[in-house]
Amino acid sequence: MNVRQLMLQTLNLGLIITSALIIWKSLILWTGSESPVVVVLSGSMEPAYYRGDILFLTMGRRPVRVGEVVVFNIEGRDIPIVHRVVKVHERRPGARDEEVEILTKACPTPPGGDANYGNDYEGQLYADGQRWLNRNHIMGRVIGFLPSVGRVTIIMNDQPIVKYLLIGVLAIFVLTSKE
Amino acid sequence: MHNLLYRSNALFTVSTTVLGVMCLLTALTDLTHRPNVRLDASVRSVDGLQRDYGDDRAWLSIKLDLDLRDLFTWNTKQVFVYALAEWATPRNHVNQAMVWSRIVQQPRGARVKEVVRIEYPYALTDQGVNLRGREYNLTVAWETTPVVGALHKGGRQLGGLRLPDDYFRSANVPRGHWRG
Repeated sequence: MNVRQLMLQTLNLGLIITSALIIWKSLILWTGSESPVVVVLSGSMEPAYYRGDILFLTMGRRPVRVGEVVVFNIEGRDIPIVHRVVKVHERRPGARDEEVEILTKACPTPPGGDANYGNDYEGQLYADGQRWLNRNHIMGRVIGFLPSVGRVTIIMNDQPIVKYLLIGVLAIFVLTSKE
Repeated sequence: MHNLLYRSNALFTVSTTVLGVMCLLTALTDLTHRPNVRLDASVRSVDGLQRDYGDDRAWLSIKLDLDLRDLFTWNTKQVFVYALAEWATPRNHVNQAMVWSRIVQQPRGARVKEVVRIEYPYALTDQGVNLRGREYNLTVAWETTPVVGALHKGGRQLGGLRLPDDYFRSANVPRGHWRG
């Protein structure tokens, strides 16, 4: 393999990585959500969403309303949560941050018990002393669904070795493929 | 060895591409479907209006006559149907509370003809004491979760409703309730 070909292949790999980044960042701009594609990590929204399903999110300027499924962050928790909005109190039109108070809840009839039966305040899902979600906690609302594909990322997170193996194989393909 | 690796790579690429295109086409078939649903609702009675833990709370009996069978296509995984109350107060320009919901996974469950009450975990509670004589709307809405693709929504609003002018409690209001 000559130097010229090696450079070309390296450039090719760089192009793939940067286009992936461009697509991701464009999606963020277009949807207004800081994380437009998320993987469901818990079974609390079954039977609608199972572990490993992929959700597509948007945020936009439209206010959050009861009935929407939203993804939100809680202070002190690493993983964002996907639940349905059951209450909204909004102080004024165009209200932001603390002027919007939102209550969420898991799926009404989770299989295997009633642990998620109450709302998320009663279920002590929110941070200590937190009664409501505010607008700034909301990352996006669910608008699209793709089943099961996210199981790959769950496996890769649980078994990091699979991730490195996969990245290694892909890199070999890109670097050695001929035209 | 390289041959096997390259061939499995090609096979994987082709199969995921085909699967992706199939998913996209399936999702697009939703666009041709204009569901014909019935969403009739009325407030049969206001069962109670109380000050509850410092905030006003109302209890309603809602008569539902829903037919959502037409929402079920080959790309429908489930339908979430719910009712919500909406009102405005001096404190908040929008207050919304879900008062009833149901998950429907089969077309035969999509016919709802019954009187429902606001039950735990739902509650129609205000932030403050503004519910006496308050005007409010009731909305019945649905949301489909597809097998693959976009979620679809619809609903119907029943407007111009008004709560009673004074606190009262009928036998339909359970004692020893939880706060919602």
